[in-house]
Amino acid sequence: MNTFDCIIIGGGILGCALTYELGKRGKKVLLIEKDYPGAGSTGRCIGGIRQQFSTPGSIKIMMRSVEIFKEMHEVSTKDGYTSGIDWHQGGYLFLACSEKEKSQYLSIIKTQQECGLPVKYIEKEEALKIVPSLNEFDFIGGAYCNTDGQANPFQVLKFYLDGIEKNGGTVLSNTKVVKINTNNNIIDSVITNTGDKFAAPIIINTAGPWAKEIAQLVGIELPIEAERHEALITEPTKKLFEPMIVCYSPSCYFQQFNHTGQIIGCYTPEDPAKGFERNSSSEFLPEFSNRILKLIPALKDLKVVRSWAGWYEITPDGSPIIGETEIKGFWVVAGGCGHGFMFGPAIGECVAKLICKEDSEISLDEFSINRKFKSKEAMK
Amino acid sequence: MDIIVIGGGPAGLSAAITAKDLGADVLLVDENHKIGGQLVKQTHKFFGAKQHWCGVRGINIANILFEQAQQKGVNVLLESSAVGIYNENNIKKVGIITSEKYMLVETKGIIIAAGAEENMLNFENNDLPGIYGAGAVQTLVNVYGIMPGKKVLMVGSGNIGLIVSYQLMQAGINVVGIIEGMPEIGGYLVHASKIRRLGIPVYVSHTIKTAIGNESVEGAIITKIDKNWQSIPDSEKQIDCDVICLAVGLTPSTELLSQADCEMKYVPELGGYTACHNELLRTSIPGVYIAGDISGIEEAVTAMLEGKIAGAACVQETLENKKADTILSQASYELAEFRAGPFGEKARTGKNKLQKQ
Repeated sequence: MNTFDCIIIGGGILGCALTYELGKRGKKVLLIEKDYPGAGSTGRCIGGIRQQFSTPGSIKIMMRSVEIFKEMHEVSTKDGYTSGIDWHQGGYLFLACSEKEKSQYLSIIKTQQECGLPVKYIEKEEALKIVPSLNEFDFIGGAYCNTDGQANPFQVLKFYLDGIEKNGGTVLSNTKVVKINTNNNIIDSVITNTGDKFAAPIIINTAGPWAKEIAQLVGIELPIEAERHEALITEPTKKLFEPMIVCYSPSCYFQQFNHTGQIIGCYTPEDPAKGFERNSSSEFLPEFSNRILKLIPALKDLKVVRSWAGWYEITPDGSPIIGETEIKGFWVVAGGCGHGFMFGPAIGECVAKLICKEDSEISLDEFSINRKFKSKEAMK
Repeated sequence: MDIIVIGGGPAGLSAAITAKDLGADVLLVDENHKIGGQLVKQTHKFFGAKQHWCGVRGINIANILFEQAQQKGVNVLLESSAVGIYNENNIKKVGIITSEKYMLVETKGIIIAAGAEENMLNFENNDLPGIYGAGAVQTLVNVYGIMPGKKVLMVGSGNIGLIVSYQLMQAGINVVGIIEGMPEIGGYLVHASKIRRLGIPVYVSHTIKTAIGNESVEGAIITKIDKNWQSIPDSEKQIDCDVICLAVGLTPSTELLSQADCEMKYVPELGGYTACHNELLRTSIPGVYIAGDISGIEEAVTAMLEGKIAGAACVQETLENKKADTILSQASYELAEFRAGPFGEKARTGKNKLQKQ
């Protein structure tokens, strides 16, 4: 009864997508979540989905994710579902505020175009046409891809959870893995805080910011650290812009939800709090307001309805860590670095294919657990 | 600041005055243009013991307390919202939005007396214009002199439902009936008697099923219910009314408590979630206190006593003031005495559940 083909530890987007994809391929899967699905980083993210990354691996993963989000939207707006996943392709606009930023974008765009991504560098005039509410401050242009988009993290998780149930998978919420048993460096089983034992030949660590803790249960040290990032959301307003707008000088990124009209956004602080701090800082609300008002002055009288904090799972090079560890059957799929939600669907599919020994067009080698963490994702 | 008090109702005003009396620099923040919280719409006289404002109208209590606060030198910010409580490197700050700007004010102690919000009821067409919370009706009639309609169906026979019904009749608005889900009237006998003398029908063991109307309320269908709150077949009755007034309880307004990361607990007797607190109203965060309806739904007299206790205890803790002892023991004694009767049972049970933590 307590034996499965695969056990997934952690019910965020990666764990849910992977459980769903494995179940779809006929595997008997158990998902163990210490809180409720989405209680960690996924439920705290702002729902942006972009393909504009700087390495071929990430770009290709994200191009596949966008296809999956589209399919999910089509399926979930048909029978049996009520609200879809709030998928909307409004694009992403990265503002260039200096010649240096412009030349960085131009070189990345070359790689992106080689991967087949419809991205281009646009001058200030064109950017102002796409986003008329943008302030004519001293930006000079930007990198723009109109097939990037947005989705609702809660609805996407619900889509996966419904699918897991349909495929006969098991989800244990409010259950914590406290021990992982191995046998001659081969994975064996997990013990939960409820005292139950579940065995499987494949156990996958998708615990996001807690992935390090879970790996330590088998004596593996993962270079994944939790880092606090804050976000806020406003009341609904009339449509002011289509794309997610990203600025690095200073850091500020935000989008308008197509389905509600609310503006949601974040910035990356100079020195983010390390660890599991989840309180709002006194700096964030006034500082974010200043930064976003410099870009979109029309937001001046808009009310903020809520702000909160979540965790990025930071790896040394800003890319996820995916693969089987030195313990046979123990896998790591974690380290979203703030991109976990958007990477989730494609990573879930790719890893499921790998485990089921299916051919996959997308290589996960770039994210190997054994790689040297030398470069750094340029579009953080 | 030494102490920031959030909310200028009976609890917040008492807390601010008490803290100021003990020598603290106090800032009182309230989002309304008029101070007093729910007191400003309470045109009825209080009853009970003399030290608990017997014979004085709520609106006058607000005025007297506000005058006291001003004379004593409490700083008051009206039309200003406290939107965040921050505790960084052992320094507390409150984020406040005034009509002009956002500011972060440093403080040693914080007393949150943000009150409560009205409960909604689920029934068909409950979003038709003409359906109000009892507090909104009371504000329209007693504060602004505006009639919400001509024929009111009151839902709920607790003290608020009874008092608002009586006040509507005084204002020349016909209350066509009061319905109550429980088998008996919920409020004090003294209020229920007034209602009976006016001849308002009270339907106990009844609930509202549907609001009728296209553009606004034109009537309501009510139904008799059994012990399990299931409607009894063929007991439906149509009531002719243009206002449906919901007096079905309150829920503590706890957003700031959650944001401040106070340990929270769900206690049905207190109206929902509130912050765990000890008998001195201190939350799980040192220097952060609560008082009044936010700490559990009760009424104005207990709110004022809690305000006194929270004000004195917060000064005692954050400024190490020894003079607070007498106030604390006196107010705690009065509060226990006030809650000793059958009407204090819910509060007693609820508060006990919290303090067990």
